[in-house]
Amino acid sequence: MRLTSRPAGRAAAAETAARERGVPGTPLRAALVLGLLLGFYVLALLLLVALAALDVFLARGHGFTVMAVEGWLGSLAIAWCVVRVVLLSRGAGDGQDEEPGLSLAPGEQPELWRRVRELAERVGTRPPARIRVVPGANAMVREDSRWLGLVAGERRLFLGVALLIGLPKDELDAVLAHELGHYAHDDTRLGGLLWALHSRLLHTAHTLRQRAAREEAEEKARAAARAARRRAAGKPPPVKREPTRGPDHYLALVFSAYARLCLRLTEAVSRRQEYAADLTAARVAGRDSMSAALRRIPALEAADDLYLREYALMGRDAGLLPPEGQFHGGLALLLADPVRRAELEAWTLRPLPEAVYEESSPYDSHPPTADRIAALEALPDDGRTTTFPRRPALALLREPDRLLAGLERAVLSRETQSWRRVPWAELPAQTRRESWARETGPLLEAMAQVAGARGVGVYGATHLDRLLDLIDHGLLYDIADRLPRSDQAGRSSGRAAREFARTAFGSALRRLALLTALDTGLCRWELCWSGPPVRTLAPERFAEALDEALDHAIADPPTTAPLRALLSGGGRAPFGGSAPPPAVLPWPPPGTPR
Amino acid sequence: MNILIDIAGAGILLYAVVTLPRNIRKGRALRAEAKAKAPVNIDPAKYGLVPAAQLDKRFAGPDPEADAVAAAALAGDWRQAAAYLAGAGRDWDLRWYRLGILTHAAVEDDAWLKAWRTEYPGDPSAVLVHADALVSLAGKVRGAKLAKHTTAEQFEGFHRLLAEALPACQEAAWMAPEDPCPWIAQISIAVGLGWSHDDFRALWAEITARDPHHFGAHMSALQYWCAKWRGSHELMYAFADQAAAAAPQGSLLPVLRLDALMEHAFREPKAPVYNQPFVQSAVDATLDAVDRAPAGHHRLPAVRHLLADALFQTKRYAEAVEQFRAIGGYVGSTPWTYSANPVKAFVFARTNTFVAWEKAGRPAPPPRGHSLGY
Repeated sequence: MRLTSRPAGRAAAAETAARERGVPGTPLRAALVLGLLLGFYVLALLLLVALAALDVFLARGHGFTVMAVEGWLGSLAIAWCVVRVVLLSRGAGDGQDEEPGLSLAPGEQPELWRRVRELAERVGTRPPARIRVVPGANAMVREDSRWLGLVAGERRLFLGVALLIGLPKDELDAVLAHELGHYAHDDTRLGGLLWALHSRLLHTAHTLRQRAAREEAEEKARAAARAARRRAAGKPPPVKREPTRGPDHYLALVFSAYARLCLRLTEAVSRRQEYAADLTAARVAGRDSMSAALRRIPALEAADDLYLREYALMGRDAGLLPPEGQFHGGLALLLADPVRRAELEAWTLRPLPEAVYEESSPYDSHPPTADRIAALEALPDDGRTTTFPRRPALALLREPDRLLAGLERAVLSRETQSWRRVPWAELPAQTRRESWARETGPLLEAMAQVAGARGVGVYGATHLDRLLDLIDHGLLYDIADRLPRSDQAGRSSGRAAREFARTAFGSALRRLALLTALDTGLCRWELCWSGPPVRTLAPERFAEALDEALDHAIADPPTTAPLRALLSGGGRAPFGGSAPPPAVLPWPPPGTPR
Repeated sequence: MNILIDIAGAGILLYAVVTLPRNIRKGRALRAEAKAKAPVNIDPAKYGLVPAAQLDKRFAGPDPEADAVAAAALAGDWRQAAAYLAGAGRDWDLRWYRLGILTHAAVEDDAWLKAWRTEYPGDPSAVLVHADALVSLAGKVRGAKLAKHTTAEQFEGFHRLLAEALPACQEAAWMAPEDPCPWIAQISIAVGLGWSHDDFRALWAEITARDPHHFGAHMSALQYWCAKWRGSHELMYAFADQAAAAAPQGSLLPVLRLDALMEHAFREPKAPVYNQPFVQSAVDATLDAVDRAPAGHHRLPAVRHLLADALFQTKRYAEAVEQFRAIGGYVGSTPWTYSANPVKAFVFARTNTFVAWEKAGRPAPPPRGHSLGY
């Protein structure tokens, strides 16, 4: 079923790509999809007919034999499964109605709309009726066609915000032209039908598998119950039988095989459509722009992924967000960093991996990017070179900040939007402060209880000072015993239990010490766009000294002086004045949120 | 419609009748199969054995003196404990064994140990008990599960205690230069912290320089050389073979090879561990060593547990019966303690041994070709 045997050489790949660029016409494709959809029902009917034929055959045998009755009952069970799952059940909505992202009105963003309309004209197709910005580094088109795709419908264009932020203008043109090329070739007409086919198939195979699994679980439970009853009655355990599989299991095999066939056929067509759309984009926006965009988008996707995970969601445990409009927009700051930009350029320009040929799957809707670029580079040079200076695509937008803020409102959940907004520069420190404050909560509570119960007067300026005073009074284990315990600690006794309490106390004390270091300005946690997201500025050898001081503080007997000295600056003025510049340490210690 | 129901009902009845003999046959076969698989039970009293419910899970064998010392120590009398340890004299393995008894008590509660150390800060024995107790406590905090089932909290306490234990061991070694025990205690630290082979061999040299055939040290070092810690099956067997071959007459070290076999079988339950060519000779050598050992030797119970298991695994039931009888009512030893339910594992091996022995007509153990030289 594989469309091409992939030759090793790049040029040969380009040739194959050029050959397979022929896309079957719309009627042919419609017929294929429709045929596959009908085939699904025909398959179900065929099964029923086959069962009926079997019954008739059995009935025409000599009278009512036991075999015949067994056959009838079996065929009835299978037929019931087919009717119940395949024909009667409905998919859980087709999901095409939900519209992700933020809609852009022509009045709000006239430049972008003008650009899209111009490109549509040059491609030679009707422009989309709606443009929506979505998160991510993806672009796609959709069309609400009617009558099984024979009548064109409303066209919608979805643009990933990372593309707007990260692509130069000419490459965005190429991407837009590629997507419009899909319209021009009527690739989107069959979208609805294809969607119906895929969701129908997936739903059926999924339901059958679920039923089979449920049946098996029920049978196991029955067997277990029976064994328990026999045990209770004092009989030997029942004999284990091989689990029998119901008709659902075998039906699931049949329909999964059919689903695989459908996917192979339809996705093979989709892959050809991508090559054709690439050609259109090369014609309209220039060969080099299109191939540059194809190279850049994977890098952009990776950057966006990294940005969201490490920067935008940095404060997720503490319930903090970057400033308004910066949740997606902060990607521009990451891309503006010279170090990151150099990394991305290096990624973009690196030779394309050969391994892609082996990994390409017959179920992919897109051909390997390397093949697409090879096909583009095999085209004759159109003489259009990239223009300098390259303007970012964001320049096409009016009031980009308002757009980004609107996108956040459309995409983020209500709960997330209620998180506190913090300026970028303060985000790492605030995140740490919030989570450490939360983690030291039980310790402070235990401390207050112990101080109250023992009537020990403590006059320290900070929580840490008061806690260290209590330790000096010999109350370490009184406090530690009130901290929440893990399961393992709960099961231990004697000295082991005391060691567990010491461990829990030590880690809570570490958080409190770090919180104190943060509050007093001894250590700083700064945002860094070029390397690991958070850079720690601490006095020289602070991490080692802290570990050592904590060990002393929870030792038996405890010594709190080193920790006090360390956190009060200990004669070493941490910052400012004539103090030496702070060293940048690879930090934070394990176990603290990054 | 009625006729259809009648036909169906008649069909079902007919089917039941026709298939009745077949189902009876099937059921009989299945019941027979189940019976073959079902656990066998014997009456322990008939063979003079201790019933499963009365087996002692804590110890490998009886030692009333040790029990009394531990109880006294936990009650605060450290002087008896100190005298007990001193009583071992220069029998370093006996000292190590008695140290284990005191360590066990000190891990439960160290008030008596603190009193001892306060009164005699310079007593090397007190420092030794303290150091070894830290090592044991570290193991207790960590738990005996695999690393992936051990939490970060458990590891943190484990590493902190081992970090405290190492200097304590070194101090004890410095205070008693001739005593191998402070060095042997470090074997567990080496296992826990994953010392390199070179570092471990340096430690081993310190131990063998003080006592070349120390039983406890060899059992502990075998752990380091097993595949589950820092070694492999090959390294483990090489260590056990070398130690067993070099052991002097009267030493119980030949059991080391059975211990290695047990470790191998435990790690690879499907492997034909007990079919290896050297197994029979290793079992014979251990039987000889047990025969030669004086009655009441402090290591004899632990050796008998391993020996009984090896005899059971190699189907030498008549000899296994002897060992199970000698073991009596204790299961607190390897290999049973490796199982989630040591009593069940022990009773399984014991019951099957006696059943097989009964089936064979209660044969007497075969005579072995050696003279019992005392």
